[in-house]
Amino acid sequence: MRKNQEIQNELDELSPELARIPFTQVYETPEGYFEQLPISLYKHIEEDSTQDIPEDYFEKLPNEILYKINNTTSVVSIQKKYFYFKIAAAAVIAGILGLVLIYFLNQKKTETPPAYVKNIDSTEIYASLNSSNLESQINNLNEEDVIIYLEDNGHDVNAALVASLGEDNSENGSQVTEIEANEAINEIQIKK
Amino acid sequence: MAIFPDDNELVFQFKNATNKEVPFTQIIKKYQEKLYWHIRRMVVDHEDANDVLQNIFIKVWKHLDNFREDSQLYTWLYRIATNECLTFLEKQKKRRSVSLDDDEGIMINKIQADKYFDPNKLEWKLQIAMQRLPEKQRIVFNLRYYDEMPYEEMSRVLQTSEGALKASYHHAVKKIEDYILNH
Repeated sequence: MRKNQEIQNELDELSPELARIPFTQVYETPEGYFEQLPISLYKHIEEDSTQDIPEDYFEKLPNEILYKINNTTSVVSIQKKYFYFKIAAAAVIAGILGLVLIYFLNQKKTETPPAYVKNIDSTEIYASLNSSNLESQINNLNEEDVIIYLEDNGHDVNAALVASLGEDNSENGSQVTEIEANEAINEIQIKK
Repeated sequence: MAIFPDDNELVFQFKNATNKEVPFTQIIKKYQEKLYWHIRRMVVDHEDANDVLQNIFIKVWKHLDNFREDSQLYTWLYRIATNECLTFLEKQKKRRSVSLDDDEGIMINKIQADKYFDPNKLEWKLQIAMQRLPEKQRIVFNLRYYDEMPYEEMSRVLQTSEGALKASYHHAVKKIEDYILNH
């Protein structure tokens, strides 16, 4: 029930529909809420007072600020920092793009061989390797040329000769004995 | 019903008492229900209303010593309550703007979640209709319809001209009527 008749009359005039709605409170509060409110409120006030600023805070504040200003380290401009950061970021991006490009180019090379390679049959390659005169050319090399080559390239001539002797013999199905190897070395040294 | 001393007397007692808790408890008891319902109808949820109400009384406790008495205590309390409500709603809005939730929808959901909610009752329809009003219009409607506050007093609380407040209340009533008739 309204206490103020003037407000009720105003509402009757403005909206009879709204005026006929019962003037009640629809919401509820927990039981004993209003009885307990002052107690919980004083607890909050007490907690809040511990967070208050110290009594002479504002008197001390200017001196504290001045002290901090005089003892602070130099300030690095944020803009400058960002400038270096931008350069570093650009370099990293360029590097990544370069690597990606190299990767794709290499992949392209391996993936797509030239047309003439595609047309070669594998048996043809095998046959050409077997029939090549590489073997005959190696066989035609004389010993002296081999020794000169090995000496020029810093290899152990004796060891190479022993190994080649071993290979020759193994082809014939026989083993090279230590004595035979020594004899061969002596023979070469005599020739020299 | 408890009888409380007049506001000026309470303020005088508070300012001059060695134990301020006695007059302050009287102020709390005199205004707690009025302010609570004013806030509750704005924020809907009890816990929120309780938080806002406690903040209001903490502010009053801190500043009552400096209260200049060029306005009534009642007006001053309502002004603090209204500002606290608006601040609270604004904070909620900012939080929701991150999640892109609809403010009005959330408040209506809160009403519908009340265990006593009855969609057929006009009193509940009125609460939903109120939540659809712009915040300031809702405050004006709340103060006039529920707190039965004269425009002159409301003008001091909201620091708005009486004419503007009348217009705002009339608009609010029409919008609410329209909602009730169509839902």
